[in-house]
Amino acid sequence: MPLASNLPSWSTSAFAGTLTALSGASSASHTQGGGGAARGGGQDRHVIQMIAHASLDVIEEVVRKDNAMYLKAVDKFNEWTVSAFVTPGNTKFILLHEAKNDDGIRAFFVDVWELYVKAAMNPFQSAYVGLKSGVFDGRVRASARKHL
Amino acid sequence: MPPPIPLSLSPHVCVLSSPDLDLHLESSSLPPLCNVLQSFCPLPNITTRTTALTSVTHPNFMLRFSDLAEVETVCKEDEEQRAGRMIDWISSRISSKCARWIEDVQKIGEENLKDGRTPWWDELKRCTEGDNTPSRMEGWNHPVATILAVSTTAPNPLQAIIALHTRQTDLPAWVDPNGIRCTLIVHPKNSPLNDDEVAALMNAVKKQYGLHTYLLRLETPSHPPPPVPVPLPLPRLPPPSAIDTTPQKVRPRKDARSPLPRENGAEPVLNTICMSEADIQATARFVREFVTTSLVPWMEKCVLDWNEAFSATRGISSRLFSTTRRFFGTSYTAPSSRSSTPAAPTSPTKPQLNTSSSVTNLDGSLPSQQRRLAEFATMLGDFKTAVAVWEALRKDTRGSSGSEILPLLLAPTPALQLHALHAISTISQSMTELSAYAQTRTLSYAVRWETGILQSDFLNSSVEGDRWLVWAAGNAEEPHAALLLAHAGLLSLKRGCVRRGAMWYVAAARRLEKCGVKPLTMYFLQRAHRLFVARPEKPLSILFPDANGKVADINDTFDAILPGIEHTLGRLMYTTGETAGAVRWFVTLLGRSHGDSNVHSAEINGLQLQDGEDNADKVYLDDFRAAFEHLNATSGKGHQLLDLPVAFTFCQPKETKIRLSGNYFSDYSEIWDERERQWRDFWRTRGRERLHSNCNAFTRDRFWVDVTLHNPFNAAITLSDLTVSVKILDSNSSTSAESGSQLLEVETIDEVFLNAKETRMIPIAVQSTHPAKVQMVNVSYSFLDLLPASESLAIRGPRLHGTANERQNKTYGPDTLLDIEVEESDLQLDIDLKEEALVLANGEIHTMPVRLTNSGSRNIDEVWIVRGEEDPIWPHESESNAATSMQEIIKSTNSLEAPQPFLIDLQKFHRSAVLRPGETVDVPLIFYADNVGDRQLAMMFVFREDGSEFFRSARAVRSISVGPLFSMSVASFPSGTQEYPWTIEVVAENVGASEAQITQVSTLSPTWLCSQIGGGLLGIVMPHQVNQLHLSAARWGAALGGQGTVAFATEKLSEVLRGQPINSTLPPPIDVLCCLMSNDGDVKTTTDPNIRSLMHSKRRNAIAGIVRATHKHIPVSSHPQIFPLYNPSSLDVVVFWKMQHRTGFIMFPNILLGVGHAELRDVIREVEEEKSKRSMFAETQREKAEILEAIRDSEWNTEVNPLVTFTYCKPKLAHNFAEGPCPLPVTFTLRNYSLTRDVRYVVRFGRLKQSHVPRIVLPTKGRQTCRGELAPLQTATFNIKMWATGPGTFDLGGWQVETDVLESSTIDEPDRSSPRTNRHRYVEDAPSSNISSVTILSCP
Repeated sequence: MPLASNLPSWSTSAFAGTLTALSGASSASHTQGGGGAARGGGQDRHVIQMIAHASLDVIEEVVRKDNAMYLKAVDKFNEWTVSAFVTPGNTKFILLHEAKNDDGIRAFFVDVWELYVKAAMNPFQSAYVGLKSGVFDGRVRASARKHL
Repeated sequence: MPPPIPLSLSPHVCVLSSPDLDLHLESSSLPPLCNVLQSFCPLPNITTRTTALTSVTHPNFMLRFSDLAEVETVCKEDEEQRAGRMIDWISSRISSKCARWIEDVQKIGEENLKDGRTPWWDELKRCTEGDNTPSRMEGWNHPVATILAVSTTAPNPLQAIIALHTRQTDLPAWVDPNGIRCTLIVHPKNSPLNDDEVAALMNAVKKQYGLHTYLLRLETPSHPPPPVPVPLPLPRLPPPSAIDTTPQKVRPRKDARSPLPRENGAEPVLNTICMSEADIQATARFVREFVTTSLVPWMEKCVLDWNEAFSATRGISSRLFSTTRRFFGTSYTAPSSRSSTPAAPTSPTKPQLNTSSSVTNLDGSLPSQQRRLAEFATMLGDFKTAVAVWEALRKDTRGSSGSEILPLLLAPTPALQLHALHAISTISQSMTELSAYAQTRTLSYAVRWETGILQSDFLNSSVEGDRWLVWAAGNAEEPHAALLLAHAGLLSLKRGCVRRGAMWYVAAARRLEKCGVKPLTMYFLQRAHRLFVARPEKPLSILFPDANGKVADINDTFDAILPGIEHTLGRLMYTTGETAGAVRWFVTLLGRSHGDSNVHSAEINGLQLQDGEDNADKVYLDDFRAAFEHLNATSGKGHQLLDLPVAFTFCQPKETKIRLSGNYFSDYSEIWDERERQWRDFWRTRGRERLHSNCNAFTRDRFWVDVTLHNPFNAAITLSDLTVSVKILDSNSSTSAESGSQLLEVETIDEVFLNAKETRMIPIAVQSTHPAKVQMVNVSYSFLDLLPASESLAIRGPRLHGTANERQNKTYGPDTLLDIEVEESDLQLDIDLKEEALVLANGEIHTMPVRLTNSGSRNIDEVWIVRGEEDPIWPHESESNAATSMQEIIKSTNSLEAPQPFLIDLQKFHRSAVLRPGETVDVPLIFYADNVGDRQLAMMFVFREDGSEFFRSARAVRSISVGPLFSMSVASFPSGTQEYPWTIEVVAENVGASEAQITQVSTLSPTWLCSQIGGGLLGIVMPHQVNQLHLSAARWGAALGGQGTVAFATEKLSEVLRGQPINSTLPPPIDVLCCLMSNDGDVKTTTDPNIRSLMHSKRRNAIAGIVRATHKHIPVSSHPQIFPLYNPSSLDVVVFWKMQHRTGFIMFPNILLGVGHAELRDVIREVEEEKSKRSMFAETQREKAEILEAIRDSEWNTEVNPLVTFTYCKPKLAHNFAEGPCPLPVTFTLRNYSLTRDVRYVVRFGRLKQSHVPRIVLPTKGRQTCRGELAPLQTATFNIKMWATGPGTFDLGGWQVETDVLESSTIDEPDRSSPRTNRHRYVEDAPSSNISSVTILSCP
């Protein structure tokens, strides 16, 4: 086949080494042992995004039944527990975490909510544009350091 | 009605047939007996009884028939090895069939799949359900019955039956031997035995082997009857020897007729059997009879008996054992209930008959009786008993048994999730990687759950069955795990969880990709991509996106998901040979990189992390290049047929500009607009000739389209063959596009290299040979020298708000394109400023040559220069001789009007008054470097041919940098001397880098005559050296026009305050006295036209700046009609310097000498008291207040006490106090500093305050009060005698002056008769500091 000679030695995987976190339900046996996966905004960015994105389904389902703003451990994907906070304006904050820290997460969410409201009150801030404020980022990080 | 029990949980019946029967079936084109019997399953309407003797009707009673010999063989294989083979077998089946599945699914469409079932999941299910190998862990596949079948065609049928019965079963010891044995005698029509003999045989067998004996009469015609469709046998793992990568072949048959054609990919292949109708009826009757008379009653009896034993033990022992366990912590083993389990009633000779089962089967022993009870009860539909027993089992075995079955039997509750999770976690316990056997078990659990639980229950939000499949898939990276994930995704979609479904699809694709199953991988990725792209419905107002000016895009938030999917898809397509598709994906991917969202960085705990996507663009580009080059190589120009949707753009039309030849300063567009406005204002009163726009190009002259390109990628790229597509809108010679291309020459740039994220302006030259209107339509290029693309240069029109429809729906005006008019190049002037950058010293006067060249074809007779209002440029005039007098008078227009464009006298610099084509003239201009810093001098040259009806313009910009030279400060003080009222101190510090010489000091004032006091200042000043000069200022006797100027300003400001329209009268001219002071004989005259122009310009700029800053609310255009250039009492100090060959001057303008008397007091008071005209707008009111405040504080409304008192006495005295107190003569001098008004004063003595510590002796004799009246600038002197009673140092205080400023002056009204009123009154005490003092010494 003439094509074969031109095939590069690619790994066709764009997710190589990253989707192991998504490896399904490694079930209960991996609950404790999966902590070694890379975390944060680094190389697992799209995995984390996919988990956060998928958890929106559950969050929206819970929101229909529950009035609470803080949705504690609303979903779980392997070692990642998803906690969420739904503002009265239906903006959702999603946090993926491994350790259990309900009070800290709640305090963090409340802080972020306040920061978000302040940022959203900026008349030049559109609801559809990400918050690209260094001050906002810095304060969210500071709050994370404090509470998480 | 009980839920359908999965096939794998149905009774397993083994068939052992004699060779003669096999031979007979084969000769009749029939499959083996077990397959024939399986074709009659499921059985309709079978009724069973529960332990409570309730009837349960099974609409479809499932049975599994298999060949005993095969079962015996497979049981010998190691379970782990078999599980491994099973996984490989499933994988090979999937990979070999998936391409066809995808084709079929894509043909009929995903939406049209029957019940939403996918062929891959059906295949996986059938492979799993088809496994009937007995397992050590569970008893479902352990045979519950054995059919021993012979045919009457055997030489000795009875002997054959005996042989079958006496045959030793070769099953392992852990296989439950409990089961019934039935004997089947098949009597074909061509049998040598007649019916009587068969009946006798039957009776003999019944007598010997019990009642479970059946006779099946078959016709089996020699010619096979037409095939009848029957359910396809489930695929089974081939024996170890036969395993290969091809799917299992059904045992070959003589009538191997091709299966019926498939209806679609989702439907299983239909199987057929060639039996006559009578045979079918007979066989069906046998199967039904076997089930209803033998199998079910036997199982019911087992359940009854075992249940009794179970109930008996549960009563005490389980409680007892659980207590024991609690106390002693030993692991529990189920009680060995050696109850009276019924032996197989029909198999008394069964050699390994165990009437009881062992407790546990984990160690390879028999399945427990309890488990068999639960399984039997489940098979018979006795769910009440089954649930109780399974629950007990689950508790007893800590969940290793029962958890997997309970979800099938219980109503949907959240507890089911826990059962399922527990069942899977027990299998995968303490295993980092699941063994093959564990994988097959979890797979079978998942399949049973999916099959055995109603879908509505399975997808219930409390059950969430899709997650069960994901748990079952575990970490296994085999195709079956991937299919479990994919089915979980499908179930999630059915539940409405689109986003989660998409995630599972991606996960499934990822695993399949590792296994190399590319068609399914691509299909799942494409499915996931479609799901990710589809936006969920949001119940938001439709105006919400409009209000935000943007349509929501989920990809803004989750920007890393789609690129990952698309990249994998592209690469997969490329590796599978779908290069065109791959190129499409790569192009989409590159389009997604547009914008800044692909630059991700994250900071965690202060550590800046790059997520590796910085290089993503480079990888995408490389992949795109490789794929596209391959596409080109394989399909020639096939890429042109692709019609690729290029989603990324490089050109920024808004930043793209047209630049004309000679117009290098397109950034100065506002300045040029201002210059054109200046010209139009200037020329309006002189003529009607219009100024041609400078936006037109000329034929045979190049102009440039400055295309701004921005590389949106994070990697370097090249664009080749970059050019601009132009369109000729109308041409005098031709309008066709073809000839237009001949009229125009557009440059093509071979290659442009753009770095990552770089923005660069690329000029593309265009030249037209004929006058035309040219429009720039597109920018075209070849991306990476591969993909030809073009981008429109159109800019979207403004949003329209005219009608209601336009306001409600976004409507934009027509797109605008860059266009330019090309004119005949007949009248052109080239400007050459010669020097590029100019560095001057502060105050330097520089002569700047400008070369003008007539590059057109017509004469130029008139050239005007239009410069900025504050640009100190003037035409150079011939210099005057040195000053002859030290006092000169300049007649000033006294106007703040901006300088007007000036005409270049061509006659003066050229040999004729006409500049002919090709001729050049050098025109000197003088520039005054008035302020330190950098500035751009933008000049517009307006020219025409004599009598022409229009002007043309040319432009020139000059950069000038001005460095500091002198730092000057000027201060004025009232003088204590009689000769002159003011002393002025001028201080100059050389802040430059080299020495400079101060050659001359001049003062300019309408009122004050200055002269030098002493020396200093003039001469060489070294760097950082400070020189000082004192000047005296006295009133200039010939001062005229001061009052007129004051009256003009007062009147105009009054009009402003009253809100009256300002008339266009200008201030009256004024004479300005210039006093020249120099040590040198060569004194520069201020009447020199160059110097005078520059000084006027400097003063005008200074005063205009002050007025602009102070009176912000008065329009700048009306300033010349309100504010005069000179305040009569102002004084300008000009210091001339020389530095080698450079000369210049520094002016310190507008020093106010003299006092004012609040000339606008009455008007201000009047305006302030005017309450009725308050505006309803707070802004207007505030503006008015600010105007009033500014005028009140302005130089035209100053108010100061005009009377200044000077005291003088000898500073030191010696006195013999023995002779009495010391007399102290003190001289008091009072001067009226007002230029316009008389003052009346009263000086009172003896007003000693307590704070005056020194002892001052009041005059004991003489006046206590002095009175008098002073005309403007007049002085009065009187002597007072004070007495000191002792030696010491005394201050001369203790007096007070009362001043009345009179309304009019004796100058204005010399013959006054009426009493004059006071305008202002001031009372001033002797100052407490800076007071004269005296020291008196005592001497004998």
